Amino acid sequence: MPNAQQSYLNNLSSEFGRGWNRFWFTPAAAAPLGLIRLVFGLIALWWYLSYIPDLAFFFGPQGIINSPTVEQWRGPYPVFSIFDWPQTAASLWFTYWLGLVVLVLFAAGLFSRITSVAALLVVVSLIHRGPMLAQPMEDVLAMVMLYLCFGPSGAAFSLDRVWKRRTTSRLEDNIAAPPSIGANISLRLIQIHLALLHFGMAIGQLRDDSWWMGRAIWGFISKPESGYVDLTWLSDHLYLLNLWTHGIVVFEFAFALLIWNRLARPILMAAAVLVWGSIGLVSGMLAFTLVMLGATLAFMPAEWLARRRSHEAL
Amino acid sequence: MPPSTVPTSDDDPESRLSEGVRTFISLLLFVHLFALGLVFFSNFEGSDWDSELLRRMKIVVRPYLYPLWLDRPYHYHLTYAEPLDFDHYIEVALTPKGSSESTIIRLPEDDLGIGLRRQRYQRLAWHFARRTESQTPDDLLPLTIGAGLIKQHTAARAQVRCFRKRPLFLDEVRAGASTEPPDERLYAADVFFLPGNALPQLNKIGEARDVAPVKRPSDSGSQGPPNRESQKGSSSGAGDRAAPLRNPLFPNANSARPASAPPRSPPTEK
Repeated sequence: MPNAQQSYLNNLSSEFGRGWNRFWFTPAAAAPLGLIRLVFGLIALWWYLSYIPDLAFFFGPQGIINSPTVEQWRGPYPVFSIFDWPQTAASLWFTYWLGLVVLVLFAAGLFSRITSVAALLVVVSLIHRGPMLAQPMEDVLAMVMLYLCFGPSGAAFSLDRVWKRRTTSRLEDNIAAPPSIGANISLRLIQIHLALLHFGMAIGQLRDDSWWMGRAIWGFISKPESGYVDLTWLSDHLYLLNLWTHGIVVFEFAFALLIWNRLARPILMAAAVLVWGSIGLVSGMLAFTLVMLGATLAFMPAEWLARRRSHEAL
Repeated sequence: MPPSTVPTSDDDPESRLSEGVRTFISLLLFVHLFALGLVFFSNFEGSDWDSELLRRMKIVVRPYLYPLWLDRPYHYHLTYAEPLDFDHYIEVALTPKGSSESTIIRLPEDDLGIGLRRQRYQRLAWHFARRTESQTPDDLLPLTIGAGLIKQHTAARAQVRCFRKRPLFLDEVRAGASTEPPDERLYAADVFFLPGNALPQLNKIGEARDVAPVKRPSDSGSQGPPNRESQKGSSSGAGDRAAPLRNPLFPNANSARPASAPPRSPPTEK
C-alpha cells in the first residue's frame, strides 16, 4: 500500500506539473493580445479624455478632492501617483498632457514594451488621485492594463508591427507575429481574472432576494434617466423581467465555469455581447460594458484572427 | 491544446524555457493568484460569510494589490434595488461674501448627459451617501467638497447636501399610479472657514431625514413578498416560504432584513 500511495502522489505531482506547464508556458499567438491592447488603449484614451472638463475642478489646487482627503481615503498603504506631485494648475495640466501622449502611443502600439508599463502607471495614477470617483469600469481597466505589460502587446495591430514588417525580410515575420510564452501568460491572467470576476458577480447577486425573485433588473429600469433606453413598459411583463434577471446570473456562472471549454466558448462570447450590451443600454454603464467585452477578447481563439489576417496577407 | 494558442513546431512548453526560469515565473504566478484569491474570498467582509483568517491574511497582500488597484471587491452585484442603489446627487448652496443670496451648484448637473462624467459625479454622491449612512458616519466628503467650492468661488460659506432620487416603483408603475414625491435629503451641513484658520469647519444640520426612507422599487405583492419583513407573515404567492431558520453556526443571526434597514456594513460596492 505505501508503494501505491507513493505512486499516486508521484503521478499527481508530475501530472499537475505537466498541466501547469502546458497551461502557462505553451506559446500563444500574440494577435489576440494585440487586439486587446488596441481596444483597451482606445477605452483608456476615452476614459482619460473624459476628465478634461473636470480635471481642475476635482484635482486642481482648489479642487474639491484635495490631497489630504485622498491620503485619508487611501489609508496606510503606499500608493504612487504621478498626479500627487502637481501643486499648481499648470503642473497638473502638464502632467495630464504627458499622460495623454503616453496613452496615445500605447493605443497606437508604438514602443509597446515601454508604453504599456507607462500607460499602466498613468491610468492607475489617475485612479488613485480620485479613488472615490472610481467605478467597476476602472477596476477592469487597471486589471487588463496590468496584464498587458507581461506580454508582447505590440506584436500585432500596432505601429511596432508595421515598423517590423517594413524592416524585416523574413517572410514569416511578414505574415503573423510569432507565438510567445509572454502572450500566453498575459492572456491566461486576463482569462482567470475575468472568470473570477464573473463568478464573484454571480455570488454577489445571489446574496440578495431581488436576484432570486428575478426582479433585480428593475433596479436599473426604475431609473430611466440613467439608461440609454426606457424599458418601464416591462413592468407589464414580469416574466420578461424574471427571465432577464435570471439569465444574467446563469450567464455569469456559465461564463466562469464553461468558458474554458472550446465548444462552449463561441456561445458564451456571443451571450456576453447580449448580456453586457443589454446591461449597458439599460443602466447607462456603457464603459463597463465595453471593458467587459474587451476583456472577453482574451478568450477569442487565435485561429479566428489568424484566418482573417492570412486572407489579408493574400 | 490549450485555448487561444496555436501549434508550433516546438510546442513542448518544457523546451522553451529553462526549468529555473519556469520555476521562478511559476512562483510569481502562484503568489499573484493566491493574493487575488484572498481578495476574492475576503471581499464579503461584514456579511455572515466573513472569515477572520482571510481578513487577516488579506492585510499581508494589500500593500501589493492596492497600489495596482487590484484590491477590489469583485462581487459587483450591479444592483440590489436597495436605497443605496438609487441615484444620488450632491447640492451645494454657496453664499458669497457680503451677500445673503446663495448660488446652487448641483453635482452631477441636471443637463449632464449619460456617460462617464455623469457616472463619476454619481459615484462621488454614492460614496457621500454611503459614508454618511454607515454605522460610523464621517464628514470627510462634505468637508472637502464644501471647502473646495468655497475656495473656487471665494464664497463665505457653503451648505452641502446629499439627496437620493426616488426611482419608479414596480407596483406603482403597474398600477399606473406613479407619483413624484420630493427627493430624499440624506444629509446637510454648513461648511465655512473661521478667520485665520486654514482648516474648514462643519456644522451638521438636522440629523433626521426630510423624507422617510423609501422601500425597494422592485417590491410589490403580486409575485412575492414585498420585503423580508412582511415575508415573516406572508403565506401566499411565490414568497410562500417557511420562516427563516436560525443557523446553528450563528446563534444570534437572523436573516430577516427589512427593506428600510440600513445597508450592509460595510455597504457593498456595485
